[in-house]
Amino acid sequence: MIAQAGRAIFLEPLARTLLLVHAIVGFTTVFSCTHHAVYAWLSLRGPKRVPQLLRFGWIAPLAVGAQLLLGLVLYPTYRVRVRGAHFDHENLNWLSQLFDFKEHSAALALPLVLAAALIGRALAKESSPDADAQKKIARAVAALSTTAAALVWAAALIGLYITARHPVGLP
Amino acid sequence: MTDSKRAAPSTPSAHLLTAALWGITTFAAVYLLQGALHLPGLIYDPAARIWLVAPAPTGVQMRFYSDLLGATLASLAIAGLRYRWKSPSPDTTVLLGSSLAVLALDLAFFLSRVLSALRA
Repeated sequence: MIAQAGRAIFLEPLARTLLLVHAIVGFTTVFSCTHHAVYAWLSLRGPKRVPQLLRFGWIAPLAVGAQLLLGLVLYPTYRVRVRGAHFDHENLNWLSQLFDFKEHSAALALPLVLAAALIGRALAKESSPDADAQKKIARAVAALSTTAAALVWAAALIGLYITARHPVGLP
Repeated sequence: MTDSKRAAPSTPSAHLLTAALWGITTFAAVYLLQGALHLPGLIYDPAARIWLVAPAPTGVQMRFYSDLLGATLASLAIAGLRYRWKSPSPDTTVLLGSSLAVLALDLAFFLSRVLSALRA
């Protein structure tokens, strides 16, 4: 429980519990973002899916926000106990970089999910006679939502792989 | 750019979309540039539990918090300004393409680090 410099790492005693919560919220994040993307595309191709755009328009950003916060809280423990103690000393620098890529993917997904959710909700509530303008906005929501879902899927799969290699909370 | 390509957003969702796309582009650009250009940032050392300002982390130090915070604040500022300032803006397709292009650049940059580490 004691770090290299003799001080405890922030929330390290809770690392395994937080990792489990991180995994559960991860499933919620992946599936809510995927649902939002699917309904955004269905709204583009046919009638607007108002209830679904409204519902996943708050579930997806909430899940991504919670997931990112959990990741931020777990990051110091990972950095010292997994990256510092194992990956950096076992010539596994590519695993460190892969983990960083996951973090960057999750960070870049955040503004996309927020934007897609907010605009999707505004679009769902709006009834404009300008069909072309509505189509353009629906297309943008679908593009943002799909890109966000792809990033979240990438982050989840890389996270599972890294955890399988060496989870936090193990010596 | 012609007038038809630069018009003020017509509906609330179009106005929100314009602001959000400016915000996303800013987020992606600032997020990439802070680390790539080694701009001084707030660095956390989890082993020593101290914060410091430096251009790049060493050892187990991390600047992820700082990069995320900087990009978030910059993107919120730009999106907020765009939302309040109802001026003509490029077509949403152009804005969307720009946002996704900057985002793709970020991903290519971070992926290149993984690939170069794999080759090492």
